[in-house]
Amino acid sequence: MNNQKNNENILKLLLLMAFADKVYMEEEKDLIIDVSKKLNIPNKRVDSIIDEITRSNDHTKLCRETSKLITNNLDKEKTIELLSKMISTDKIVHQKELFAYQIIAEEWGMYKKEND
Amino acid sequence: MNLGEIFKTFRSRGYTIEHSIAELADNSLTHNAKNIWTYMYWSDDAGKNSFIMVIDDGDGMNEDELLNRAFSLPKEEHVDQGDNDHSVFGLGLKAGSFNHCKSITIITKKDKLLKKTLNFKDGITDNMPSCMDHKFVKKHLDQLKSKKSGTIILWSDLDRITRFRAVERGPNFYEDCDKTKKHFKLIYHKYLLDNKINLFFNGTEEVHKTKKFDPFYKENPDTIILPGSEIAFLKGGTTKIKPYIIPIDVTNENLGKTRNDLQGLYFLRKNRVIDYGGWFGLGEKNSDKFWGISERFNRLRIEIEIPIETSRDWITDSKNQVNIPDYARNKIRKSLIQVRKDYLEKVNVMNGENKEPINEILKKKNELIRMLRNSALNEDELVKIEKSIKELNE
Repeated sequence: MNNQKNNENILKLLLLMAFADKVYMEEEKDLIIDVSKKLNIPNKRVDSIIDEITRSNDHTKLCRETSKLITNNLDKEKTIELLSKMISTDKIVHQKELFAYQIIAEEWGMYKKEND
Repeated sequence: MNLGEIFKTFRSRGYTIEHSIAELADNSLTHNAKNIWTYMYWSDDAGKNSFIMVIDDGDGMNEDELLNRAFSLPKEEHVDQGDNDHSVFGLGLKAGSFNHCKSITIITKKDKLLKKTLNFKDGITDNMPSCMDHKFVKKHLDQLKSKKSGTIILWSDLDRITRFRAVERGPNFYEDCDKTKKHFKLIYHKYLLDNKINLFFNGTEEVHKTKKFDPFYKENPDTIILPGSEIAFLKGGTTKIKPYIIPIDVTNENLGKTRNDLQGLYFLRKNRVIDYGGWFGLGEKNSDKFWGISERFNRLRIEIEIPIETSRDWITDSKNQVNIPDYARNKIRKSLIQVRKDYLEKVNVMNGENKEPINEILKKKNELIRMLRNSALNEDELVKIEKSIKELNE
């Protein structure tokens, strides 16, 4: 898969996380704009990904399918880092965001250690 | 009426997900498993292709055991098969599973690999669910093929779980997984402490392994063992009551319950906790008041063994609750009255409450001892200790 497509998938996961709680917060928007610039994804493409997500009637499935397309370990690590930032943008950890994080980690076989 | 339709009548027996999965793990222990892997996978928003799977490396089943025991109604009352037998009524697999799903698939290997599904529509069938293609299932199926024995139990068509959770189905499902982990950590704590089993959740690596935990802190030097007792019942069997005062500064136990909730009685059968926390409707003699959970007793935890001979008198058929039988209530109450008295005496001595008038120096010394017992001291506390020592020496 080419680099551009990979970057789009990373951004799609971020957007899926942003839409997980059904509210696209200003802070999340800022982060998306910032990341899309860094990943060289034009605004038009960002809008079409947002459109795809809002039209999807199964975010869980879309999240799993998109995760499967990211196979490179460095890309996975980069995504996990960005997802963590996304979770903390509004200073509230939403249950649905954690769920999205969980299923992505499950697809990639990446888990946090039990802290008990 | 096919077998599946008969089992439909078993659907509402009050099993929670964690209790149902524990029924499967109990079967694994009964069949000498050393490792048990549990997977809970949520596929899509509606949960359509989601599944729950429990795998073990136990003895496995032959065709007769699979069809005439696992997938059938018990023909006679269950006869206890010894120390590892965790079956009480012989219905756990079916009753526990069908509380949450419409289809149970068993893949097992003893002398040869067998695959069968039991569902409401067809009864016992060779049809396999679509989740058989999932990477988790495939991985364990491939492993089972090369192993001597073992069993995979797969719940699919999780209609009860998907139907009852309209809004937050996915996140709640993983919360249930977390609850199951915590439940297992407590109910199988003796097996874990004795290194008899390894429990894994959603994977096979070290990070997926459940950590050992002792709710009684027996190895902790600050735990106090109170005098216990042994009670024999006329109806048969004996029970041992073993009380412990747990240390004051135990860290977060991460069981999803408060220390108050975790006080009281822990009923065990064959080293497996059946029910725990609270005082099970017991109270002082000739009093209508039951002992409630309270701050005062939140360091008291008591192990009580359920007599094997009369287990059915004590355990509900969903095997997740203990109802102390009438013939045992008074004897247990009597013993617990003494234990609670001993506990208060010890705790009061430790708190220095029995010294009147309150000696300020003693109070300071006790405070100092309490602080020194805490191994994770921060800088402020160290300064406080230093100051207290100086004051005591002056």
